[in-house]
Amino acid sequence: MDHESDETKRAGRGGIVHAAVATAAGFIFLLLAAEPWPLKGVFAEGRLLGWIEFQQLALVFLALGAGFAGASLVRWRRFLEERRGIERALSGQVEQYTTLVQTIPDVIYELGPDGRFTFLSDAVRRLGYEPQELVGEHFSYIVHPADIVAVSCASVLPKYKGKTTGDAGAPKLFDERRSGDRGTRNLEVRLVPKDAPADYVYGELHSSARWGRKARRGETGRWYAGVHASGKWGQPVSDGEKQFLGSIGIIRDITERKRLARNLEASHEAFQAIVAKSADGILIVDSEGVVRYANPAAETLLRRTTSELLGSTFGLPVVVGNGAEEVDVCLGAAETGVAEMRVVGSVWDRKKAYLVSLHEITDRKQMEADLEEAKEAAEAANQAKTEFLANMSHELRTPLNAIIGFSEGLLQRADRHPLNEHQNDRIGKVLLSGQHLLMLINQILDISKVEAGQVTIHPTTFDVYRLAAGVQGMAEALLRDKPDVAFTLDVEDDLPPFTSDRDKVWQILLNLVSNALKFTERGCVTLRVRRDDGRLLFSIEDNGIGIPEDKRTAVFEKFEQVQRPGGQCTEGTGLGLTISKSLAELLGGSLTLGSVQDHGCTFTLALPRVWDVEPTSENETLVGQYGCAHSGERK
Amino acid sequence: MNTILLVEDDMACRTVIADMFEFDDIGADLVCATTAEEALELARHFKPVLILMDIRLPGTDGLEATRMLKDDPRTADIPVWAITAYVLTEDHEKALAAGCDDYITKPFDSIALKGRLQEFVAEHAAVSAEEPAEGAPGEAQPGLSIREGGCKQGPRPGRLRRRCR
Repeated sequence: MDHESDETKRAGRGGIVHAAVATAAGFIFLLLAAEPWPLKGVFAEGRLLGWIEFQQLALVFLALGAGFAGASLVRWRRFLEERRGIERALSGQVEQYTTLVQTIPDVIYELGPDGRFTFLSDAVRRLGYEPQELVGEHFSYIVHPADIVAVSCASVLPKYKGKTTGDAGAPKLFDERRSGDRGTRNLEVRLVPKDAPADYVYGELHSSARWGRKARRGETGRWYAGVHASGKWGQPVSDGEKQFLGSIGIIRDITERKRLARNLEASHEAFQAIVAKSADGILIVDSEGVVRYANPAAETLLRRTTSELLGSTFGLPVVVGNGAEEVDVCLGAAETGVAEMRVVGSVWDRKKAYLVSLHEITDRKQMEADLEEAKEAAEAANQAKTEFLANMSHELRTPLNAIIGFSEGLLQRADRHPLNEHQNDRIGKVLLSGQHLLMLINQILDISKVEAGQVTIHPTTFDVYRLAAGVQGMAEALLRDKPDVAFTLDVEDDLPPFTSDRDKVWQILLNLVSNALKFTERGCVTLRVRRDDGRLLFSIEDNGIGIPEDKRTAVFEKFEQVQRPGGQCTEGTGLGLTISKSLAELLGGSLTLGSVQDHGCTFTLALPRVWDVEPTSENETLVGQYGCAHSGERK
Repeated sequence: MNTILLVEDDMACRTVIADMFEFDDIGADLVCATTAEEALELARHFKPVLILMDIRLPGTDGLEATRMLKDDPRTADIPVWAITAYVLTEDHEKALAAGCDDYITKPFDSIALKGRLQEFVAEHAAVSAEEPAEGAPGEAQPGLSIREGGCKQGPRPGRLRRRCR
């Protein structure tokens, strides 16, 4: 209540007294003026001293009394109005604070001296409780059973010497202290939500004890102690008057913070485990190049113990880079090795540092070097083999030239320089043997070139009909000695020019056809050419002895030959089909075998029809690579 | 009579080709050399219409000899056929790069080689008949004697026979 309203109130009271006095005087004068006036003898004819009429005096005082009364009423009324205004303002402030208390997300509570709730803000609904249902319950009602001891007076206040249990055996709480800082800060406690008793949330308590005069009977006002943020007792109160009134405090939900902290700790532990178990050596080097941390792998890698490493100078320029850098590292005292070093910027002890990971690659480097050496050796060996074969071929060809040349010459010139029958036969055999030897040399060269990857493909565009006719001509030459075998061509009509390496196709077909003729004693060998779904199929069919099921794959292997019935070995090198298959694959196609034992067999050469390949040139000579057609053989 | 020069160090191979000239009607005389140096000398001396060149020779090889022949204006126009036991593609390419006009691998098909030689000599004779060789007008139309002169062994048969055998 301010000064002015007090004045108004006092003035109001004074006014009423004045009004009452004036009115009383008026009534006295009225009495004096009454007739028959009992005191007529004293006051002649109702007049005082003969000239003041009592009636008039009475009127004057009555009027005065009425005036005072009116003024007093006005003042009283003003006082009442002021008071109403103050009350309104007060209730508005209370509403404001109530709203504030209910809006704060932290639970704001008030405990009575017995530790029971007297007030809770609506924020407690986050735990599933209604504020009203908790009022009257002891604080420990919402605390996780395991934490009740932790928030008890005895635990929180080490110097507390009083009773540890309060009313009805409930533990005395943390904030029931009498002196000093009565605030309690950052007390962590687990709270049990109503709807999930097994679960809990983390709360952080801040509270202040309330001490002061207990409200006297009839006293409606409350006097809170320690509501200030500092929680200190603000006003001197004599000990006799001090009384514990309870406490007021907040509970802050720190579940999320705890969870984050826990996650952080877990990930920290996980990373520590990773670093400790890492196969790479990991070091933390500060900006002066001093090792501050080393994991076990770094010890192993650098052949030094952690205590030797820590504090030692890392000894290498540490520069943050994008990739791995190969560095020489000292392995112990004498050895050196190679390691891949990766550096990332890091922080150690709040200062700039580097995280250095070392991956030892000494063995790998050695292996790479060995591999390179082995590769070079293999290449050299391969080169040597190719050179050897080329030289061998040259050395064998030179005498072979004489053998074939002379025997051919002698046979050709037999009309002018006749030979007897014996000589003719033997020289014919010399020629055949020479030619067989030549074929062997050619095919061994071929296979070594295929194996060394030295065969190059020269695509040309050519007429399939001419190619087929060439094969037929060759086949007919071979059939001179086999009157019971026929060769037929079956080429699809309207085939466009075909692009492939013609010399290689020719070589394959020649090999297949001569093979087929060799193994057919009676019947027919057919060359079929068909278009098939982007490919061109060359099939050579015979009705010779065929190839047993279990030999179908083997025929394409080196030096494999099918035995003729009766154990007679066929002539040939056993390389023709291997070469043909390799060449077919080099041309992007395939060579496959379909055969029925005793009913002949069919070799099918499937080549991709690549019409858009730019051919190098049109080569019209159908001559094998070595100037001499290969004769085929079955293997 | 046209002359064909054979450069070949292997006696047997020489004989095979010499037999062709002796028994089959090539229509030209054969002169043989066994080394590159000899080949250059004989080429300048005899002005052969064709040189058959082995590649592997003692000392200077056939490729080098071919290059020297092609560099010498006196012999540059003479066609050179390589006749060699080197059969790889790269050998073929090397020979063509050195200036060889053709490449025949050993062992050659003697019927085919004989045919080609006969064909070459006939073509050469036809060309020579149209443009008589300068400085030798009296010996014009040697082509007439091609077939009959097949067996002849040139101006000094004794020497050549020794060389070729």
